[in-house]
Amino acid sequence: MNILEVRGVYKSYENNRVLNNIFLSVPQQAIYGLLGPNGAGKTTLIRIINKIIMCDEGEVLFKGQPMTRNDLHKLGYLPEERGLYNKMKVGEHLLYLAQLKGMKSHVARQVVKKHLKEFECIDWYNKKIEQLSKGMQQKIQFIIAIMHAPEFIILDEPFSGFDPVNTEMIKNKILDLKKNGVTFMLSTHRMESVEELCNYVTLINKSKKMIDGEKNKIKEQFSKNIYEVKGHCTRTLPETVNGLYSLIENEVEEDTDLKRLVFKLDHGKKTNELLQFLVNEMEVVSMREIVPDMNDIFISLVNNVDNE
Amino acid sequence: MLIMNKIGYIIGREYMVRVRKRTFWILTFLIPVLYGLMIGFSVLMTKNPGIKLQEVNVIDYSELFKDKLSDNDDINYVFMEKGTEQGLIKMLETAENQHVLVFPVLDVNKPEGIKLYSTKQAATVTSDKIKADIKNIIKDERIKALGLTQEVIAQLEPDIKLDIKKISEEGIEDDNTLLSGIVAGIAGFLNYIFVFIYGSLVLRGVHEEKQSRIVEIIISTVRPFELMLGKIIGVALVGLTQFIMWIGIIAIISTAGIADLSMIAGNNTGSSELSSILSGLSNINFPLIIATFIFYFIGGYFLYSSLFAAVAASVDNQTDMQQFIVPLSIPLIIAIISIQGILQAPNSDLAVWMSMIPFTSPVIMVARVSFGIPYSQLIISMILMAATFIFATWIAGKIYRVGILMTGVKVTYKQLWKWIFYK
Repeated sequence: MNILEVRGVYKSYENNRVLNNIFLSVPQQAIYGLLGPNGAGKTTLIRIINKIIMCDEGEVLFKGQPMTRNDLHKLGYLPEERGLYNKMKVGEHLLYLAQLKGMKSHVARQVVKKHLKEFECIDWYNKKIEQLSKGMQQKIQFIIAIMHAPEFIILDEPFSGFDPVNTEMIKNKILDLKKNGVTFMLSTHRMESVEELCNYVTLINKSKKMIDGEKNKIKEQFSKNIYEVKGHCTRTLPETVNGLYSLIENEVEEDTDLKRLVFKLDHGKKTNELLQFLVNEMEVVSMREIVPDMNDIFISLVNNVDNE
Repeated sequence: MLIMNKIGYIIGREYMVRVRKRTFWILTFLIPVLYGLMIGFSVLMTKNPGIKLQEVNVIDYSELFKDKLSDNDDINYVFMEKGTEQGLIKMLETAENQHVLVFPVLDVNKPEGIKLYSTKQAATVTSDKIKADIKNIIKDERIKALGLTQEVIAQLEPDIKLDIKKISEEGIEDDNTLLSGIVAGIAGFLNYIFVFIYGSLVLRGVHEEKQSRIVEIIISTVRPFELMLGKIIGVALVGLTQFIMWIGIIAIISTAGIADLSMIAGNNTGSSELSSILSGLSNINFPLIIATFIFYFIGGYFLYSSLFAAVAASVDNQTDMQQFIVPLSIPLIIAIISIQGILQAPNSDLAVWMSMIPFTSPVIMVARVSFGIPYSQLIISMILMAATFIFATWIAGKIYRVGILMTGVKVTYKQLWKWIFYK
């Protein structure tokens, strides 16, 4: 079941179209990567989902029903442009926001303390926000996004400003929550986080959706039928074998002395056919498909549009 | 219900954050203390305007004043030998608080040529007192010449008191023009100050929220309009709290101060004006004035602070803010400048119009109401005020909602206008 659906959303500011007929389906318990270059319309889309702004046309469904303001309690949000009330104490700040999210004061108090303990910052409870470092504030902001046990959490560039240790802590928390049924929408430029965390992705560019779906399927779709083969080979292989492959790279690996060959299979050819050919020519040690990473897909898609 | 809860939390935060600040308490106690000092100072001034005892050396060629010019708190008369005036005048060059008063041979019916020499220009208080003393003695001499006794004179002196009445909708009332003027001036000025002080608190609060970027987290839970309203109400409550505390503290200080003033009024028969002011206090319709004051404080504050909030939400920096705040504040400044004229003619066309226009009425109507005005005018003005502040809050909410998310945009009036119509 899809926890969130965006249907035919349009949004313009004056004569500038920011979102153009956007459709998205976010399955329950997914970590859904929302990708796109700067100014693509990601933040606008997130704000429409959050009901911070209204779309000109289209609708957003939450669990199959048009989303209402009451559903906002089930949403968590970590905006990219984020801040806190500098003069407030950490504890009361979290308490205030938890109450705005509909929690009763005594429950909120327990939940706030529990999260501060979990993120190793319970000592900050009575400290003013302005006394915290930027990284510490980021942690508090992450707690704000998750503390009211939302079912759907939108994180806009969640890792910016974190050191590697805290990044790992946040990643583990995301995976942990996902295991417990929480769905995430992750908007980021860090492709390694997308590779590591997301199982669904969508790419928006110039107000339009370019592509969306399961990350692995998208990768398959963009795979170019390229394989890397390593082995011992004394003969010289032909550059092309008609109807089977063309050889793209051919080198000897320095540290292993193995030959490294990269083949592009011709259309419709299977790996077994290549292997059948190769076993007569060399001793194959390993073979793997070279799959494009999200970074390559992102760049190639964005560049294609720019060139059009 | 849920919405009300949320606005409640926002109001609570806005209120607590400000009331807990040290500056709130300093201001709360400082203003009455300053007020107390002011009262104390004026009481002191009434008792003793700071003039030292003056010694007046009298040379009397007329022989009319000997033993008749009597000393008082401020002046000591010393009669000197005839012909010593030149030496005395020379002495004045080095002595302080010394004067030389020379009476030539006088015709009581044409008293001319009396001279007063002083080191510095004699303070008017001193010369006035001397003049009054001389006048009384000459008057007595003339009466004596006419052969009248003091008793006859006392019978001749009529005691006239003009009982000024004012015809209003309630019939004929006592007039308290002077007192009404004082109360009106204070009320109008207070409202002006309040609208500005608390309006700028809202302005600063919204600006901080935008700068610190907390706002996006908040408005993913509550509507921008709710956030704005919560802030405005929260700050208004801070204002009312401070106002009530001021009234309380000032009441205590004033009771002491007025008791002191009454004592002076009682001791000094010349201060009958003061006594009449004190007794006139009971003739002023304070409940109406206070109710009007609170209504126009709330109305004016909502009107201005919501517009201030819209401006603070729209612009990024202080300089740009001034560009919008200054034109917005001009009506209020015009109101406070014209208040003196309004107090002199509370029913002039200008006064009536300015008390109708909601941008000036918070000052002008509050001032006019203590003079007693037709209720029809008050009601029309109140309706206009209420309608305008509701409309302004609504418009401000529209601008606020768009502006608070815009950063790095140089805002123009044209843009603000467009934002009102954004979906």
